[in-house]
Amino acid sequence: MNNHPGLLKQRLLNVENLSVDFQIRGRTVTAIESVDLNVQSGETVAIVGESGSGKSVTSLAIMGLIRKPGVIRTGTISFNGEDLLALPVRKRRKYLGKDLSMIFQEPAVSLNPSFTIENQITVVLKLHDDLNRSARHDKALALLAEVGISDPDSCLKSWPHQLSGGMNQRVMIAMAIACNPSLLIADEPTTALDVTVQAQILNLLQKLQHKNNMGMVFITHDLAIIPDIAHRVVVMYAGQVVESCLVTDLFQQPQHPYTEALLRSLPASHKYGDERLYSIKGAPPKAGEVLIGCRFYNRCNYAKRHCNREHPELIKTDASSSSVRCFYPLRNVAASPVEST
Amino acid sequence: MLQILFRRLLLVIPTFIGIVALTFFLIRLAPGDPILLIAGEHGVSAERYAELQQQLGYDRPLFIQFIDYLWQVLHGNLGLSVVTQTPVLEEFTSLFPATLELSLIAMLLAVLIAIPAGVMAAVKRNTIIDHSITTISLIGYSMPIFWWALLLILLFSVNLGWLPVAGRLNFLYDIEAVTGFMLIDTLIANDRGAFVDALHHLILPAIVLATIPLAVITRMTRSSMLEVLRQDYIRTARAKGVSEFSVIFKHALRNALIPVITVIGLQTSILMTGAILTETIFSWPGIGKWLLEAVYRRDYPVVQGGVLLIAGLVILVNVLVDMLYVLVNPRLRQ
Repeated sequence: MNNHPGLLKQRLLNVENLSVDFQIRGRTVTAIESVDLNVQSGETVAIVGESGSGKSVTSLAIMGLIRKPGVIRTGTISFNGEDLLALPVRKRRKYLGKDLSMIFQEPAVSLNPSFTIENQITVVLKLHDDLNRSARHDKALALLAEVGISDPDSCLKSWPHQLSGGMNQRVMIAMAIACNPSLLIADEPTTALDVTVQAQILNLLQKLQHKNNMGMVFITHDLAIIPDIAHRVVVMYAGQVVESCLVTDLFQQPQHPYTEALLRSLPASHKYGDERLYSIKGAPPKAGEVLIGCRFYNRCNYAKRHCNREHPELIKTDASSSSVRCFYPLRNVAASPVEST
Repeated sequence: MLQILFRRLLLVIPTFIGIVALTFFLIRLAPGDPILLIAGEHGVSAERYAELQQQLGYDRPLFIQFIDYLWQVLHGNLGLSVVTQTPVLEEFTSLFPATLELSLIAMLLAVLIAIPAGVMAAVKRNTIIDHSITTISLIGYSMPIFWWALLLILLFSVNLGWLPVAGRLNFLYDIEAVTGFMLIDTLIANDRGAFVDALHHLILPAIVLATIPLAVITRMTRSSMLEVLRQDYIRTARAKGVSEFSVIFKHALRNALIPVITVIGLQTSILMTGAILTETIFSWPGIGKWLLEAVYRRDYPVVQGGVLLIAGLVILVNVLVDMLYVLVNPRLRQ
């Protein structure tokens, strides 16, 4: 991702050239390839992309949760100026759940079925705070109240299977913010929830972010919720960042053909006047498939012959703080060429 | 909880009646006659035979005998042994502690080794450690128990002379049976030498009896642990900064143990079968050996009573396991 010249705001997270491979049956499959990402305090960066585009792998790599057969091949992940990848495991673990925390996609299976909610929240406090037992209990109550649980007392005594999905996600959030993290990674936190609950959870996350000036990485495949929550967007395709820009630019002036295609596939994209809902032709490259040229070549409406032979780099564009991985970035959506479905 | 217990106990009644019927008729279907066996090789005159038959009640129709026996059992009377003329229940209670001691030690040994081994195999999946543990447990599972026992006796008792071949205690020691548990009784008698001797006698039979449960529990722990380690909540625990040790032994093992407990319960029941073989090989004076001898002698009341009591124990263990299962699995508590 590009630098912000003259912008001296403290960079919270700076990921550079991050590549993760998976060794599966002797074969090396690249899950993400030279991903750059940076997040500042108080800012939300959304990572968008379809399943398998490497969104989750990126977030797990930041958390240090990539486990065998996965390996981080290249890259640096610096958090508050410290290179996380250079840290020994024990030291790195001290950040997890404290300064750097994460909430997951399916709250129901992300909570341990054999421990009470109280137990699961206080574990974090026990690990990272010097509180005694009763102080931990009080803090857990306060956290549950903060995430909008109406009866924190009985919730603390419950088991995950006794709570609804929305409640469980609130509990997950309470756990994640227990130690006032400076960065929160939310991996599709609302995907498993119904729409009304989704809006509540998004509001809650925003409220918490404002309160603590927390940086946030918000992973989603749902473009529609991005304007509500994110400041900047990183679009991923087949393990690479293909576009990175401000949210406002994304909707008004997508530069990568993939981004544009994504926007057109939104059910709400009536401005294109299509009668049928647009869908991107073809399928993304399979894991492990080696492509010389642009990875979107086969599905691109604008591809030229040259795109198949050379691989485009992520380049800065003239637009404010955005970059795109395309030889022929789109300048003007209105003048889009003939569509082929 | 109480309701579950009550429902379980209601099911016990038909189970018991079924067991009584099965053993009663099956042992009588087997060829052989207790009276002829008592009489020995010299045989018995026809008059004396008829007299004994009448005395034991074996001259009546089989069905009447069955109803009569069932009636007795319902009154808590298991009858007298044909051979020794002592009450079956009395013989059982005097021999049972020996079996219980052996089984408990064997089960303890199995669980204490199997769970760490299974966890280790799962955590070090597909490494040499995992392969060794899996292979050894497969061998343990497939090995015929009597042959394995003989191998151990040959090595440790005959060749190395480290451990005794059979029995529970050397004849040199005279220990009063207070609890029936030799390890405890020798401690009560404050006889250090006897305690060590009792321990020595226990080692081989306990290893032999523990072998199959050990193999089964190891494999179950491994697969259950592998399943749990894949779960999202394990990733959550890691994301909280929980140490790897705690992730494995607290967050994962607690869930992985749920199916393992069922297997431990089942194995405890099967241990009773194993005990018959093991006790016979090591001349261990427990109910396994007692029951087997009763079968040889067609001692009908002993076989029936013994099987019934063992069945009762198996049912008891199962109910306990069910209770334990509810206790460790919060999803079953409502």
